[in-house]
Amino acid sequence: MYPKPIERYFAPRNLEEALRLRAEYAAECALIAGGQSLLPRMKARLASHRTLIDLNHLENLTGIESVMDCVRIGALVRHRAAAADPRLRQTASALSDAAQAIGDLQVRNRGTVIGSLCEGEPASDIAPAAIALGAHLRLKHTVGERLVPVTALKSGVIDPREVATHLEFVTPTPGTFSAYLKVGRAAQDRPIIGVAALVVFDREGRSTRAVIVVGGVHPAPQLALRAAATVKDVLLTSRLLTTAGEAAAAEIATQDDTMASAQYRSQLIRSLVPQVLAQVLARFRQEAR
Amino acid sequence: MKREITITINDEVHTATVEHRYLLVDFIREIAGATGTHVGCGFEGRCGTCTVVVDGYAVKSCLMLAVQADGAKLLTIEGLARGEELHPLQAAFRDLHGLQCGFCTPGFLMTLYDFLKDPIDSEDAIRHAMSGVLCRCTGYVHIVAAVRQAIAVLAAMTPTERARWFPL
Repeated sequence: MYPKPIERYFAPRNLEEALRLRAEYAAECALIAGGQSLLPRMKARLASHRTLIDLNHLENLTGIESVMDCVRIGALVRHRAAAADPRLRQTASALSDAAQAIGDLQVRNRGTVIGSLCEGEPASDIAPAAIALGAHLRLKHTVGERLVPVTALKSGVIDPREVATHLEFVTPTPGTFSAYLKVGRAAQDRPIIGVAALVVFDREGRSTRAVIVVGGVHPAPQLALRAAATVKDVLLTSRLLTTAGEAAAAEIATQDDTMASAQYRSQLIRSLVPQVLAQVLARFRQEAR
Repeated sequence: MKREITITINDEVHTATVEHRYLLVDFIREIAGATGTHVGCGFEGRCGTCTVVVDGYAVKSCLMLAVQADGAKLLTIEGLARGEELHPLQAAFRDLHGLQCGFCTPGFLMTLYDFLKDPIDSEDAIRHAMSGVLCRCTGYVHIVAAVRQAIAVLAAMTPTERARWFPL
């Protein structure tokens, strides 16, 4: 399989040039960073773009940095770098887990965290973790910029003249712990179901806030609000975790597709929600020790 | 539609004018003639056999356009041994029968080359690292054993000696 002929290929050296090219070619161009989702789609002829703008040579987008009270992840941060970053591991483990769970070693070396979000597929590992953290995507165009919550990302939300430059979220407060777990058909596959959870604990170990996000469902990852309510304002016990799993399986609508049946997906939700909450709890206990 | 690019493969410089859509794996095989890099699927990125090391990182060369590698340094299977002396990973594959037909082996070696730079000596970590390469002779057990031997051999070397085996 080969992509259709690509008429123009640009490798801009700075963001201004990239934004100008993006505005000029708009709908007929695609941005490429890792290309680990884009190239397979172009080769399968599910996508064709006459113009490619390669972001790999842009400066200042390769880092994970703290700006004011936020964590900012640049558009060229590869999954491997995100998975290995000690600060993310410390404060936003769900995202480290997701970056470590996505694809395989070669894909993680090349694919980017933001690229995975911009592909906007429901079966993404990154999206549930980013949503649990309350992350936003910074979208720039030639004359301005805006922040869009990851929850709002779906096809058509990103204007064809915009470039996603950063993923940002407020640095979680001390006492916040999170995790992400998935089940795919094989280790490197897209998740059939992936679950991210984030819990804020007070000093006594009581949860004061809980977020549970289920990915692998259509059309986009969903918040399991009732399940989260069962583990809020309580001391977490294994019985409660099971209850949360039951609640999530009951409230999240699942779909049949070529990867799995709706029933199997619901069963995975029932099983993964307690596991991921147990992981969050284990991380809290490890730090409390 | 076309662009002149230069890619260094195993210390040899190759310059050619290629179509924008030309895949890196074809540049390696057709232009540089380094046919040790294999293609086991329809370029979908599924088999991992085309894995090469680009600027120090293992990537699937079918999931990269050649123009994206303009100016890059590559290491392929042909560059792994030092003359007649096998890379410790190659030696371990030979010693422990880490292959049967050998078709997927270049992909395993180049993927595990990356893993061995900063290895974790556990079966889980090794299996996770090589999940992006498929072996259809089902030789994974022997491959894991070979990787563990390579980790041990490399760990016993001095840092300078070890660095010699990781030129990229």
